[in-house]
Amino acid sequence: MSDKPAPKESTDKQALLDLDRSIGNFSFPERHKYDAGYGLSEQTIDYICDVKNEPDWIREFRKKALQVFESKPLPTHWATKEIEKIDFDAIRYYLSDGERPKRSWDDVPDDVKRTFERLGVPEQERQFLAGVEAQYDSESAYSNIKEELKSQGVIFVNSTEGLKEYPEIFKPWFGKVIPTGDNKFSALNSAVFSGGSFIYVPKGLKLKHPLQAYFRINSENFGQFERTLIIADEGAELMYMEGCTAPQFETSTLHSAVVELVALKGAKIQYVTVQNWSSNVFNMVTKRGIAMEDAEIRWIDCNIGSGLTMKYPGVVLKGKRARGEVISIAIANTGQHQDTGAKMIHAADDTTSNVVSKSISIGSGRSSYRGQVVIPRGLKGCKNNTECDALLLAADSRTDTYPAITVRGDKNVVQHEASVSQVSEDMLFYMEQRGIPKAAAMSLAVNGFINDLVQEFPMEYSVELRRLIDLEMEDSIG
Amino acid sequence: MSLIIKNLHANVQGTPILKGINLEIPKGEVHAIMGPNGSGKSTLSKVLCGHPDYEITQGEVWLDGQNLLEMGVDERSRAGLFLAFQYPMEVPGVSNANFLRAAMQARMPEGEELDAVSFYKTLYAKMDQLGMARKFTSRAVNEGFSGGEKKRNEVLQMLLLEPSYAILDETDSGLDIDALRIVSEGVNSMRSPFRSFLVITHYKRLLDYIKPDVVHVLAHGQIVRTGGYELVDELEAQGYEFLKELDLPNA
Amino acid sequence: MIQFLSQHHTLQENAPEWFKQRSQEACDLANQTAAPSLLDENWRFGSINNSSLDSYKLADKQDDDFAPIDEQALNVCYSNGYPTKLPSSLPTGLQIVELSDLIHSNPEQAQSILAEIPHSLGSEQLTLIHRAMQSHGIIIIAKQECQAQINIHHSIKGDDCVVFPSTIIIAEDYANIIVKETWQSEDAGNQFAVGMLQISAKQGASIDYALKQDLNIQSQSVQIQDLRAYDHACINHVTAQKGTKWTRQETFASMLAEEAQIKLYSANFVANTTKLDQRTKQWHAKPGASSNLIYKNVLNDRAKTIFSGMILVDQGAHQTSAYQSNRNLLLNDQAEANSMPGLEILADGVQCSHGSATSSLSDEEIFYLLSRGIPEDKARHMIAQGFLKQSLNDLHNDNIVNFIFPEEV
Repeated sequence: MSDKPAPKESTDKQALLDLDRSIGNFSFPERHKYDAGYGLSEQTIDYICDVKNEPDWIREFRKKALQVFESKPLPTHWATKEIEKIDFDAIRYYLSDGERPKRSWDDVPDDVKRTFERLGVPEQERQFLAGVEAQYDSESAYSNIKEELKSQGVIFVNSTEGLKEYPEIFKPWFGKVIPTGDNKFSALNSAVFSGGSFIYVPKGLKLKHPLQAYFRINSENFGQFERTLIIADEGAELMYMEGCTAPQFETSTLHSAVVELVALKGAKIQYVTVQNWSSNVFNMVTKRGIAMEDAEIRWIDCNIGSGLTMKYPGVVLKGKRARGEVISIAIANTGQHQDTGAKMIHAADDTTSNVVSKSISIGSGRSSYRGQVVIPRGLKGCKNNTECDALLLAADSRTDTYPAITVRGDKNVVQHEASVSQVSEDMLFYMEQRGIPKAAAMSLAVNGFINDLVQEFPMEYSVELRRLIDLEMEDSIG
Repeated sequence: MSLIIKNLHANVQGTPILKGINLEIPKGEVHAIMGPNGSGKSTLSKVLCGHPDYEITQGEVWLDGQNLLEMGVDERSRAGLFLAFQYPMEVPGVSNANFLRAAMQARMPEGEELDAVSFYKTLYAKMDQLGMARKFTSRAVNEGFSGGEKKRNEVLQMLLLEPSYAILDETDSGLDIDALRIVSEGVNSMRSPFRSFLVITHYKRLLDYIKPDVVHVLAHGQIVRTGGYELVDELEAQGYEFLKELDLPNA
Repeated sequence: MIQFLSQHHTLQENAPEWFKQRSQEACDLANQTAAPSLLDENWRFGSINNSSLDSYKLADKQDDDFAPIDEQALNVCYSNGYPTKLPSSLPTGLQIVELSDLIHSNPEQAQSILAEIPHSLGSEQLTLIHRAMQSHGIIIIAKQECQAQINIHHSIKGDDCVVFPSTIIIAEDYANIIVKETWQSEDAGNQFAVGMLQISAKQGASIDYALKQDLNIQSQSVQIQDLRAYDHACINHVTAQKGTKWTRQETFASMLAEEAQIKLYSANFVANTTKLDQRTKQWHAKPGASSNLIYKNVLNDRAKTIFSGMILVDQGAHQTSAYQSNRNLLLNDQAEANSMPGLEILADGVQCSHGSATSSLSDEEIFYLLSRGIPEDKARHMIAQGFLKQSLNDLHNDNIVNFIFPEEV
């Protein structure tokens, strides 16, 4: 089960890996403004609460979470043993404002620079994303949009502001969708969370433009322990986008984010994530939504980066006729393991859930799908459809599928299909015969494989996504 | 003895489709029902059969003096009603032979077993009549059958079950000339003074082979005209245009 | 503590030294091996307490002979694990021999056949217990293109008793055999059958095997099945679990050479409060092989089924073709079906898919049968039966289909 050593032709990606692991090669500022130091203890919690000037109830919450985190073992009885490599004592759990570690532009690896070029990322952004600059000033670019939202009654602030300024909306749902004890990493997040968004959309308001995490960029938002809570009131609709296709440099090796969504009656939330963390990162994310009567939650997820991602977006279908959907694309290149999936828990009649997952394994990359579908007894008219397809592009690529489906009762329907395939030699030959060189033919075939899913992503992403996938493949195909 | 339909009203998902059907089919007669799409032709056959998707809001149906609407689906069949479906179901894993045996067994008096030997003898004779190969007995009901084969299978069932009142719901759709001829011959071979047919069709063609005694036109959920065979030619020549000028109550 | 485990000494009193040693080693290992735990992925959704043998004793030898005889086949009969009938005249190339005889008459052959511990999928301890207690069993060796039909009948009678059926089938050399095995309770006592099946097919041989488990509603059973197919050989494996309150079936199918082929089928009508727990593995160790699995369950009352099927394609096992399908039909609001179809693919050039679907009876199908006068109960039963029977469509072996579904003519 361990990853094979990277083959000779793997390029700067391997170099990046090495570079990141030896922290001493960077130039850091001497002192951080706020720095909780290495390791995690109750003092760390106190430090964080003091710096943020948080109310007592959240301090209590964090400390309880710390206890839960410490008492839970790593889930290695089902997850990859690679997580044992996480050194919890070597992590800095809180760094703030302006204090993301900086590096010089010269130290940024060539292939990262090349990616920015290919994706057409604006100059200023490149510096920020590559960890050269600590801030990206989004104020001017997006201020108009932010004014408009405010006037409509939309709350869009970061999590700290949310819990301090709007406790009457924040508290009832915070930690209810994903309880602290859900898993070891949600407990960790509950203890040290910082950054992430708090969004509330009032009744009946259907937002035309997607809300972007980008609007609220500061160093905290690209932090390790983001906590996001989105509440769509009855009849409201919104789309939220986080992450970007450009590779994001991070020294911190552990990301443990929590995202909670609440869609009240008739509301609709679409949450789009494109993740491209650098390959030294362990990306453990717990994402879940509760959909009430006639509500809909869609997770649209693309995992390209990180060394290991473990993420299983879920929806609890709590009200009648609620709908949940997970659309997921995962690309695992050499040295990467994308362990993703979906969890659909049906808790009311006539609810439907749909999961479409497509993964591509390149080089010796490994992609795994883990799913859970539960339909308890006493329910009727529930339907689930799951389709997961994997495409293997190399002789030592790897893909796994581990779904678990439990259905009770005689009035529900569940269907799960999974398939594994390669790019058909016949298809490649056909294209080459028409004058298309092999690399381009592969690219066309792969794009065809994920095409209907890429179309689910908002325009801005889908174009970049395709370019990025081509880039990923270039390195591995001669 | 006849099939009597009085003022039948029926809804599908809340929408009224049949709006007062009155029809009497005496034993021994062949009645045809023609009409434009959406007139309620298929609904009528499903309602008579007892399909749960349809809700009867008004009216009565009497089959040889028995109250049909109070009977369950299988009871109606055993009482002598048969519907040859427009889109016959596939029943995976259940062989044609076993299906037919179960249907025949259901008509035996309590405690009596169907005699296997005579059953197969009869079955093969009817299959020969319809030009069906023996292998169809072991194949699952309608599974992988072409449209024409499914319709022929419906007629086979009819030949075996010997109903008193047989409804043919657009039996001709999807059939080529040869299949049409075979099916029609099968039906005609069953005509008798003790049996009635209700042939539902959109086109004249089937009625050239199975000549009806009475022809009805169904439109907007009601029977708007009744006549003899000459009505078929009239419709063939003029289509359903005349319906536009009609002033229909309940429409 | 398993009371009867120490009794293996008595059982094997007359056995040669090497066999006694083999038992003792297994016994020791069994005591060191952990019992299953719910943290074990192989027992997810399962019931671990059922497999405990603590309250059982070894079944006594019986004098009655219950076994039905089929004139068309070679008959092998067991009663409470002791042989009561073996076929007398065998065609050329076919050997059917009792284990307790072979260990004396041909110790070398016996040692070689009995050497390896069979693969299991979570019941490692029980596998060792079976090995320790093994004193009887049927060994079938088919060669020289021989063709044969063999029926194995196990009758079980008694209360709180455990029996260890054991069947070993080896076919080579284009031999072509059909083996039908039945486990039958002769009374209503609480019985536990822990059975071991080892099948090995080589050199173009073909083995069609079916197990019909028909124990009473109080009993339990565990079936450890290790199937290995080599070059150009083919194994068709069918199970029908008709009885017990709890059954655990672990079927490990290994494709160990090019053009090896194993097809796994199961059709089960699970009712009352029965729990049926089936774990399978299709292991493609070498390139160019194929496997297929079709498991169908109809659940009624408060039945519970668990299906966990893994397709594992090793690195280098290119040009593999592997399929898996689990279908569950629930007839009752209280029934529960769990399905965990899994894939681990480490090679490319692979055609592989799995599917799982759970549904209830189609209203349209029921209506169709009703419209032909078939009463509702019978209609539902016919459709459910048809659903199960469909699983064997691909088998093209009427002999086995009729064995599993005898009421159809």
